[in-house]
Amino acid sequence: MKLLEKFRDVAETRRALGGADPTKVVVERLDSATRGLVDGRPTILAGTNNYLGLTFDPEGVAAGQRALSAAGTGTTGSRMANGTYAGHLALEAELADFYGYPRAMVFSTGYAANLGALAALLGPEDAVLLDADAHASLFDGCRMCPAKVYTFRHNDPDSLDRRLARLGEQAGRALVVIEGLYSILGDRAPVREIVEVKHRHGACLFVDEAHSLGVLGEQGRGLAEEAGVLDQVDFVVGTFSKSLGTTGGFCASPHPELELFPYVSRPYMFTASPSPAVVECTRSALRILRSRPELRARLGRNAARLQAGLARLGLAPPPPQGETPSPVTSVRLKDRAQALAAWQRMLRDGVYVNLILPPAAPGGGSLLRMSVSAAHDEAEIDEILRAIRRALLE
Amino acid sequence: MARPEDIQPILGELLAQVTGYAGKLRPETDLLDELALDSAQVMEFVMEVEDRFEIVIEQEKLAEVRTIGQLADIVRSALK
Repeated sequence: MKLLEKFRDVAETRRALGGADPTKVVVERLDSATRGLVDGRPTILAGTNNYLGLTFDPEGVAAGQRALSAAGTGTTGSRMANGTYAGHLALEAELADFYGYPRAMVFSTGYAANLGALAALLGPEDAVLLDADAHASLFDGCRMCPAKVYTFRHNDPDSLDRRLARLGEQAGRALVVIEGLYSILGDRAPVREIVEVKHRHGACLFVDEAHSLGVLGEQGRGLAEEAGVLDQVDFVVGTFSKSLGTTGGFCASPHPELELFPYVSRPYMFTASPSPAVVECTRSALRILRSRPELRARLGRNAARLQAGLARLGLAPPPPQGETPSPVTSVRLKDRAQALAAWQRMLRDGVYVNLILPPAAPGGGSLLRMSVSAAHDEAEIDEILRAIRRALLE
Repeated sequence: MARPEDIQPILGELLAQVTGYAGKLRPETDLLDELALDSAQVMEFVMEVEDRFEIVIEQEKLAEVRTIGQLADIVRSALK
């Protein structure tokens, strides 16, 4: 059937992976935030984005269980119909308070948060300037909108500045879209410089703090807080599925118009709202994020230990001095075959990391991506390092 | 106004810079099937093109581009 012919390429790509399809990993049992049984082997999980290690936090689990008993398994409806419960409003108020903004909006996933916020914001007269290494959800959100979409070079404020200048008057209707920490390499956006550029052109700034929420900033609000420019960001989006250990996403903003987004955001309107259990687990995780800064400090120490170990092996630069290290570290490999073999070897040795193959890696190539958690202990970090040494250097 | 035949040699130069491709380019040279560029390489190439010609190119227009000739047409149109 002609309709299905397009899948031949997909099938061929999958065949080329042989038995090492990274999308086929099955976590058969979870023992903790950092350990599980994967493909029959006890495995240290070093690629889960579970930055604060809250997925088994007793308070969160109990909050979820109570909500499940009290409110059932799901809302069965959109926030615009029967799907707004008191818990959704409470979570939105708590997120708004966390950011010091008047309002926040909760979505069913982080992906939907990006789609929904961008869909609400961007009209046919507008322009959006997107960092070239931005997450797929940001590209997809921009593509859904009638606005004109342009990209600028990754983390390059001059490239952004030049493009805004070329837009002329339209720059005043432009939205600049960046991430705080970029998901694959864990690198930071130069957000202070980008804020300067957006002010120069009268544009707005949208920052996806998916990987920096709970990780960076004195209160864990992300890169914009760490850089001291949170009050100059127009829209902060994030996900609950990393530091907060649940599912869902949000958009928070100093602009009162955020209150009107639900009326124009189709990804918000036409989907069921997050389940009550997810909402209560998320509220619990947010309370912990705010009240236990020691988790952030431990995450930083673990990231520094991993990065220092990788530097000793000659696989990565040493951890940065004077700034919180990113919990995400990637090792770039010479080609797809080496990356596949190394990833398989690490998995056989009981360490799960992420395999990134072209074209997903920024700048092309293949890499192994690791993310640490506050819940890892030093022995686990050292075991991750031993596994990567065996996979790449022996 | 730049003509496609003026633009194409510059595109070739930029393509070589980004991808190392040194072969002869024809207007119908297919960036994806013939040169096997992946999406990241295409994006890098296009940003080089934007800076060289001091233009911006919409992502939507790029989605339709397969060949060097089509990219040259977009550049020409943006230069108007």
